[in-house]
Amino acid sequence: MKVSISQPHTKGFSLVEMLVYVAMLVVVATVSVASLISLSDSFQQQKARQLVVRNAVSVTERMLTDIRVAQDVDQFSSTFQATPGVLTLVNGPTTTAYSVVSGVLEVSVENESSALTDNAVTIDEIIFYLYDNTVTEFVRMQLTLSATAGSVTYTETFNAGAVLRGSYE
Amino acid sequence: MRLVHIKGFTVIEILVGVSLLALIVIFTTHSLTLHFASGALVQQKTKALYLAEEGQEILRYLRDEDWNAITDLTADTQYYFAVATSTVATTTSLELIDTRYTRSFVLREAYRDANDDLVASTTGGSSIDTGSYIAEVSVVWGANSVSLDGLLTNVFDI
Repeated sequence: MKVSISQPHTKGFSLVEMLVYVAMLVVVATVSVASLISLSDSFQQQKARQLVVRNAVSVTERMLTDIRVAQDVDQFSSTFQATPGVLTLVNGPTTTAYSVVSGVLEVSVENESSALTDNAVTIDEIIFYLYDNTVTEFVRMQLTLSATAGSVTYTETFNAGAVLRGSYE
Repeated sequence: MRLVHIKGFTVIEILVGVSLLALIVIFTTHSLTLHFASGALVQQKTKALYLAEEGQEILRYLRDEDWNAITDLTADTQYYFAVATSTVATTTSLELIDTRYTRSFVLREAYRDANDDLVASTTGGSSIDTGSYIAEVSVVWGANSVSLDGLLTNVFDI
């Protein structure tokens, strides 16, 4: 069998082809790995952020509703302008108190306590402010929550406030 | 004996393959980026809406304290809140919250028709209700904003 002199050229890859392949592979691999790493970070950030927002909304809605229907604030059983704050609301015979116990916000209705935030988030700060103009009372709160997912910790502060509708005199 | 071009890939095939892969990666990354951006926007809007709601409550509190504090303000003019630890007031200097969110409000004249219903100022036969204002509280951050409208009425008839 005669071996054609042109045969080696038809088999395998030339140096230039190999260089092109390797270069393309390197570019694609670099871009893919970089975007995967940043996606993984973003995923954790998103997870932590969702936890913070969900807990902040459920806590804030609950507290704003309670503040709106309340008649008065029990100032002796409350802590204002300091963290962790305590807010004790009086509505007829019912006393509702909000406080932080080891990073978890708890509500105590008639001395029955229950947690309002889940263990995945931490209440870093909660500060209450009371405003009284002798006609009506207004309570403002500043809530800082954080959640950790993987290597990412997400922290956000929420401000909200409401006038005590029951405090009109 | 001809093994020419039967095994392996050509440069064109590799190029097409890599481009397809790149397109898939780009589209996936792009849609995920949009997803994360909307998650961030939800958080910012949640925060901004609570700030706007708080602004409406501050106006009610000031209304309850003294209706004249509301009527002393000029309609259609932008004002801000001065929030201290035990007092709140209105001011003309900017209120910047968490270095990012600007909260302001504007009072608009309230127009009523013959049935005392609120109507647009352009409605024929409507007149200004001197005992009410429509308060628009806005929170602006970056290119985003939220706005809440509420009616302020002189409930204690001062």
